[in-house]
Amino acid sequence: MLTFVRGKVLHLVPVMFAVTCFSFLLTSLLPGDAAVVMAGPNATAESVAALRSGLKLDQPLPVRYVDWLGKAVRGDLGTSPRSQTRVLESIRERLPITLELLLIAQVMGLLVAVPIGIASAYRAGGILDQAASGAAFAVLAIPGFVVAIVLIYLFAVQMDLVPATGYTPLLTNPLENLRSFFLPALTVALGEAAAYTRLLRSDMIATLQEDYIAMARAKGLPTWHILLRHALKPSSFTLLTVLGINIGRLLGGALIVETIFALPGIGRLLVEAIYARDLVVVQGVVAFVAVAFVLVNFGVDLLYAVLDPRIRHGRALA
Amino acid sequence: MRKRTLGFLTAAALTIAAACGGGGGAGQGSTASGPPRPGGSVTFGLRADFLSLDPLVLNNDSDQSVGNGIYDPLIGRVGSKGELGPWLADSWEPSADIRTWTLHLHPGVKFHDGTPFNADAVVFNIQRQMDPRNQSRSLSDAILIDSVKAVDDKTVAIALKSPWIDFPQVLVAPVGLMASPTAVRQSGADYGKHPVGTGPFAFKEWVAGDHVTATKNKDYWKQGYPYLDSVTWRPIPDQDAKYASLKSGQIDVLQVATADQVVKAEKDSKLKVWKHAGAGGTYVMMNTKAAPFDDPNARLAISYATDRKEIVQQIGRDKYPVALGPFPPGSEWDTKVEAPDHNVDKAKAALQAYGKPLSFKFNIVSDPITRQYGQVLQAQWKKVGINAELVQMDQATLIQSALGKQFQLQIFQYGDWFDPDRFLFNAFISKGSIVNYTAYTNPAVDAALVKGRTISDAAARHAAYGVVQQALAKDQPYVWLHYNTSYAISNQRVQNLNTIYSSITKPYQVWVSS
Repeated sequence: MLTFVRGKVLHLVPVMFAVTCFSFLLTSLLPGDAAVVMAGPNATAESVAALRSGLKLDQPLPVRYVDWLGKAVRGDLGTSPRSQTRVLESIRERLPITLELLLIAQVMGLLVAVPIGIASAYRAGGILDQAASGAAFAVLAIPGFVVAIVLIYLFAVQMDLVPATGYTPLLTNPLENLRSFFLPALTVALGEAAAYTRLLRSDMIATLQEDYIAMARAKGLPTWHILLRHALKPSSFTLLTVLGINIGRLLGGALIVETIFALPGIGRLLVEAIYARDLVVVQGVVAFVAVAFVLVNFGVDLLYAVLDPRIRHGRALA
Repeated sequence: MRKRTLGFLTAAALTIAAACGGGGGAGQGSTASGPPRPGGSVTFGLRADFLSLDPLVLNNDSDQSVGNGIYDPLIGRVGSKGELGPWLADSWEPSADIRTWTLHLHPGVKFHDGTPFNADAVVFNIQRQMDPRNQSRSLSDAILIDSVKAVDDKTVAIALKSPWIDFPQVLVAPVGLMASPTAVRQSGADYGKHPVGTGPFAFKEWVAGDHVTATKNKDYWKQGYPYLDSVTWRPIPDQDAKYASLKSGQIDVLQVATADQVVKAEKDSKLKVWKHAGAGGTYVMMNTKAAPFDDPNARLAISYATDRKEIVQQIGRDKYPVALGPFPPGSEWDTKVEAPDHNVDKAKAALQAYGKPLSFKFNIVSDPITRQYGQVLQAQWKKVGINAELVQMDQATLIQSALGKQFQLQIFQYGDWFDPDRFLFNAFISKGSIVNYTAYTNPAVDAALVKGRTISDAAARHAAYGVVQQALAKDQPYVWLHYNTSYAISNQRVQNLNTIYSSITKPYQVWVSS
């Protein structure tokens, strides 16, 4: 197990390097001069030059990258010239909101997906299965921002059950906090639930063909016991992989969902920074998210090993 | 107040481009019921997020609206047309050469932290804006100041690098917002999150990205103000979600309303619309130093082929007035010159004089509303045989191409200005300005712009800007489309939300009916 972990960790170093290098390059190669955007409509040559040297935009790219990386590994992602706030401080402030959104959305998604996925697989082709597939494809076909506006109209404007926008911190008022997360989490969860249902269903159908399931049936075990104890765990691998990879996709979705629902998370921080050409923030957030993505998937790899003894003992999957 | 170009706006903000000339003042919402009632609170829904409330950082309609709650400017806008009036400075006057401005400060004013507001505080704040190391968003204004010194406890002298009659306008903007020097020194880099001013409301709490709340300054130096017990500002970037939040009660005021929202709100008895007819506008600008628009006939053809009325109807829902030049009808600066308007025959004649097929690249910002402008204009020009190829880009790229004169034709916007110097000088002076995007060169205009900036005689200034107006109408480096109108929508309990210049609100005079 230790060798396995060590190998994985060594593997991380070049990946992290590539990720930060690309995120730095991508933002630096964007057309448009950050100093000019900051100087505004009454810009003078003098003010642009002063801002440019303040932002170190007058130095060559490799010098800026090495300078940035050197500080980044020591935990300093720089200070936003736009807001005069440290990037790490902004991330620290906003990360919990994005995490809470994604966590609630994942829980909501799984709460819907797991029972429906199991039930669909158990009676594949039945009425429930067909209805669930139809609904899943419908939800997957509608873009998130449309779902968001429809949900706002229904739950906030018409029924007045939850706020349309805004955020209440968990510690200020836990109930209000959950109410403010309901609509954005539901928007994210609907799409996730649809995808998870489809995945779990197909894996589960395959598992239910296995000999040991037939064996369990022959022993006269109750159906729920077979489904939950014998079939669910081995059917969860694809779901688990997707959960890991999905973090990246979900963060992408958070950009839109947080903007629509005015949730002050990382996604919105990034969107606003892009509009304002606040490259320090864009670089910092993109690098942070990329590294987090790599680490989450590293965690998922480790989790496989826990779930499946064949992986940690280095034998190939059958 | 800060100006904007189309390039500096986010998609949502483009839609404020509404306008009506000269008038100003409030819309239907101004009919307050009864005398002002103290108490209550109001939540403003803003267009964009704000990350810091340091005057160094304030620069758009959203963060300046919050700034107006917590800070006071040295000079205020008091009239319905944005006329200047005393605020933290009771009076001010220029030296004979208009290079030094002396300000006489209001006595007995204190910051929220109890420290006195005096000449030293003004010197501290302005020097902070001038220092390039502080990367002030207002550096383009502050960099024109040479030095600032306290003459005595209540008098400040500001020396400029060159004569500038329009300088007091700068002290209305963030350069003139006064922060407590003690608080700035104590908080250091975190000051922007713990702002301390002299304003009607004192900062109370900030939930990053969600809201800022400020409570009534009970010792406010302006007698009788403010009325509200507290004010909350919430940024909601999505226009549909913002409107839904107004309808479902999370916000009381929606700032920077789109034309569509205004039309919808006018039919809704639970809502009211507030507006300010401003002076800025939306226009097409052409590079006068590169083909094809180095030929005045090509520019004239564009101007005659442009149906401004159709644009205002289709995109602006008739919420902004058509523009033919820099000055809105009714503006004191308007000398009523003849300017080209939509005329297909004259467009064809100008094309004939140009002598070649007219085709070019039309740069636009890739947001839905600017795209509409692009498509409508493209179709109008096509009717007389002009071929415009739409090229979409993001704002930073658009500005970059404008600065580098790497464009043929672009659409742009400029927010409310209150004195012509503010807008016209940098846009059309031939030397020393990097935002003379069209590379316009006209010695007569140069002389008039310098005159307008450096003399104080009102009649002579009016004459100078008459020369500029005449030249711009003839040369058409810009084809104006429409003027700006700022719109806000509120629920019925909000009263006296007047004078939303450049879409920036001021909470000190607002009150709520029970």
